[in-house]
Amino acid sequence: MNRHLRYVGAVGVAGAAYWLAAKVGLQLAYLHGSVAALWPPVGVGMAVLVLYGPRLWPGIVLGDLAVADFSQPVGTVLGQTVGNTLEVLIAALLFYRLAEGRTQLGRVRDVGALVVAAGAGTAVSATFGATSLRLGDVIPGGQLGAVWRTWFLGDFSGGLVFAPLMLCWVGMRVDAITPRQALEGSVVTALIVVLALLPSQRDVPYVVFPVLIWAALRGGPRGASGAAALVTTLTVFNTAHHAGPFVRATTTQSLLATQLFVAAAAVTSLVLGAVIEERHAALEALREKERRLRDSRARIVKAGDAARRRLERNLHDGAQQRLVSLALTLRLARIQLEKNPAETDHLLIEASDELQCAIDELRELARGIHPAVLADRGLGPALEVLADHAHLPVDLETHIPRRLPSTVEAAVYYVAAEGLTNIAKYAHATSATLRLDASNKSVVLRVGDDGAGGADPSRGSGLRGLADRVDALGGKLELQSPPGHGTLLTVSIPYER
Amino acid sequence: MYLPPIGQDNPPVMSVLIVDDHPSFRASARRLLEAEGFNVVGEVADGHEAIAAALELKPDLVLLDVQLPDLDGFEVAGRLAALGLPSAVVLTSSRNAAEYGPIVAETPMRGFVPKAELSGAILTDLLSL
Repeated sequence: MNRHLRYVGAVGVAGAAYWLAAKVGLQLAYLHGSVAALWPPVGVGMAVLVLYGPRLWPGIVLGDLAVADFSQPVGTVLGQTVGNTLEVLIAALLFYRLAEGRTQLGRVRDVGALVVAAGAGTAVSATFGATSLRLGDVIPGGQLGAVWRTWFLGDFSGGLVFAPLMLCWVGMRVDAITPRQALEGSVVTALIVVLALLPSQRDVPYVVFPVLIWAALRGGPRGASGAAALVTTLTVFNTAHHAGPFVRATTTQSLLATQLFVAAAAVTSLVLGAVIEERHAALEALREKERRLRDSRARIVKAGDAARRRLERNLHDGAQQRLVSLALTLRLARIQLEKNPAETDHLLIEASDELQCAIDELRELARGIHPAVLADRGLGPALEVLADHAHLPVDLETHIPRRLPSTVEAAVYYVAAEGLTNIAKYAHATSATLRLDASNKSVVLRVGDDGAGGADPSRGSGLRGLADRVDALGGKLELQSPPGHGTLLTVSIPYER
Repeated sequence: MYLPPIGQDNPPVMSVLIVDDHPSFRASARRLLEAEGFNVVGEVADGHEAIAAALELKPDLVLLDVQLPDLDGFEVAGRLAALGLPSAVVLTSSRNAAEYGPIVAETPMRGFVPKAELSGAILTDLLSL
């Protein structure tokens, strides 16, 4: 109930907005009645349907009927209303689709989408309108073409000017405007008004373009749409009151001159605003990328330091302790050689065992630093060794025509090693799979298991470090781990031969 | 009945406290030093235990590893000196003294012995200085 009431209210508000825009539009009419160079309801209706949903279309019908000229035949009025509603609906849907839901006109392609959408919708309306007027015998047959053109250009201009104005300005937070921006906006506004009223503008309509460009450069789509709306509205208003550079011998000529100016000013401003916005976005993306790069570089350096520290620790706690112990045992053996020769034999056996332990630990450590099999024989054999040493059965399959660059081999190897270690530690899996596919351009490794899934990619620093390593080579690392369906770690790295 | 050795040919038996977090080193060091006539009165694995044991046992010598899980050997030596214990402190490490820099010279202790060079003779030399 409440929802229905809200919908009816929204439709009412949409209709009121359309009606109000039409009332403003009639102030811009060149002939009393309806011939307007710039028809705002199209833009306002479009923006309302884009921003608040196409299901508000009945509001367009209501608003349109509220300003309809009922001195015309009923069929003519209805025909126009159907055309006007379809126009707004088609333009809104087409714009939303072509701009991929990006309604802020922040890309040049969004401005293109607006032009196409407004053009398509407006053509429908002009066709319905002109035909209805002709069929109702409101206009003679000879005027059909001229009426269609005026209708089309007036609605098209209205769409190009007022849809961007609403799309960019509705929902803007007033407190987000800095005093500087407010001051600059006021100066631009004042300049536009002065230029529009200045007698010299009579012959030089282009004097407003530097100001339009200023607004677009500094204000992006918002500045561009605001300035363009102000300039075009003032120009049309002036012309409607027989002032300014577009007053011609006939109304039709005045209309055409004004409408072409409006379309040119609007599209130019919007494109420039979008270019500026794209530049901002590109710069922002670049900064973000640089930040990520810096972070990952710092992590790589840190990981390198940590690895060295770990290595020192392992050497110190492992082989070095064994060798110290061995030295002491041998010294003791020499002392006992004099005092208690029977003990010496036992001590030598102990020393020999300790030496063997030290040798084993050094070998393990060396293998951990960089597996010799990887350097000597390549990725395939290295992965075989890895699979053999794993703590669960590993199904290994490799398609690898030749040796890869050593950095790529190392990255793939460590991902496989870390992947198998994580599976053994966390996955509760009964078996794992290793798939390696190398083409001429890239290598793809998949490490999978049949375990519990639900792995958290942010869990270990191990995976983070590997992602950095892969990232540094321009590759990608992905983790798919739906709970209950195992885990699949995929890494792909491009390389040049 | 046990009689302590008497006479100039038999120097007094030195009591030693071994401080190291590696059990294998403590065991090797104990065997070696005992074979060379030292009396190992205690073994502990960290700095705080070392201070407590030194206070309790008052050994002639504390053989103190530099790398301990809590306090490092330099810190322990400093605290032992501050407590006014008569025990001589000899630091030991699997690293060389040079790797630790100037702190070795600043630490109140009798000497520094690399672990692999540990022997009763060296300790006796250091203590007779």
